[in-house]
Amino acid sequence: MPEGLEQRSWLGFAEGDAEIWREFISQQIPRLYGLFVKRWLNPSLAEELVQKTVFDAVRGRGSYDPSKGSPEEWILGIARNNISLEARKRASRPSPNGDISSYFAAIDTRPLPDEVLERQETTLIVRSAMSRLEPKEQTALKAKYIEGLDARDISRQMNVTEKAVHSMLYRARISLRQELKRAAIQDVEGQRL
Amino acid sequence: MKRENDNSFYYNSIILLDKNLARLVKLTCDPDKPTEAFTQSLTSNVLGEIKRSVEANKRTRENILVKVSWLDKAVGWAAMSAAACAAGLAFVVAALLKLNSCLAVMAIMTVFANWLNYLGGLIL
Repeated sequence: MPEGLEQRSWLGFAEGDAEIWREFISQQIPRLYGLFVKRWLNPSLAEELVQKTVFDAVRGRGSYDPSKGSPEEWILGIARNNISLEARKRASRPSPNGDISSYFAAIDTRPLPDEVLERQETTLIVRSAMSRLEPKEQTALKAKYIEGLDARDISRQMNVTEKAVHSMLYRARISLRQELKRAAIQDVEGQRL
Repeated sequence: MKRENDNSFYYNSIILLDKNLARLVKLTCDPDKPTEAFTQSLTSNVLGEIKRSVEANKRTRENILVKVSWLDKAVGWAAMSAAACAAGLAFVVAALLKLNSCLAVMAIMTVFANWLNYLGGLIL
């Protein structure tokens, strides 16, 4: 529990005091993220679940009862509930089968299932495909997808025009798609040998 | 029509590719902690949501207070005074004109009915 929060009034927490909440969520986001990633090694899904948990807590803050436990235990309960919901959702849908190259072949026609993203070989395929791109393309893709920057910010960071960033990102996406398909086929062939 | 369908398919495939690549590229970052961009964006969205809901609650509370404290009280007192004055006036006029007491009672009943009508409107 954050010491500052422990000292302050629970009323401020329930009423939505901005400073208390800023302090609280800045400590809870990494903790919740770690919990979800430990369950499913999938950063995108972990981000979705952290977001859902934090918003569930914000919207239900009026129902928090200090006599039942600390706010940390309370938000952990919400997170566990979201894990159960996700597990139930997964159990109700057919598990993806077939080799990994078939999913990468259809990368622009259907969403990749979470289960495919969580396979160990997927991370290796992505790392291998990324390493085959030009360094500038790697930087642009990481800036866009990991750092969440827009074209203007990327252009400032890379010292190029915004138009150049757009065309670089376009080329990088096409190249990455090709490299992913190739790396996936190589992975499948390697497993067969 | 076919061209429209082709265009829609093309844009959908671009969006789908973009989403899939975003999820894949994130696999290359440190899995132990969330990215700074995600943390900042979520924190700012959460604080925005809290601010909005606190302001909405405050507005609702103020509206209720204004209704009860001012408008209703003022109109209520005015209507009550008018009803009392009208009742008094009905008796005085009836006495001065030496009217039948039934007429005076009728006048009072009319005022009372109007008062009830006003109260009914407030309740509904």
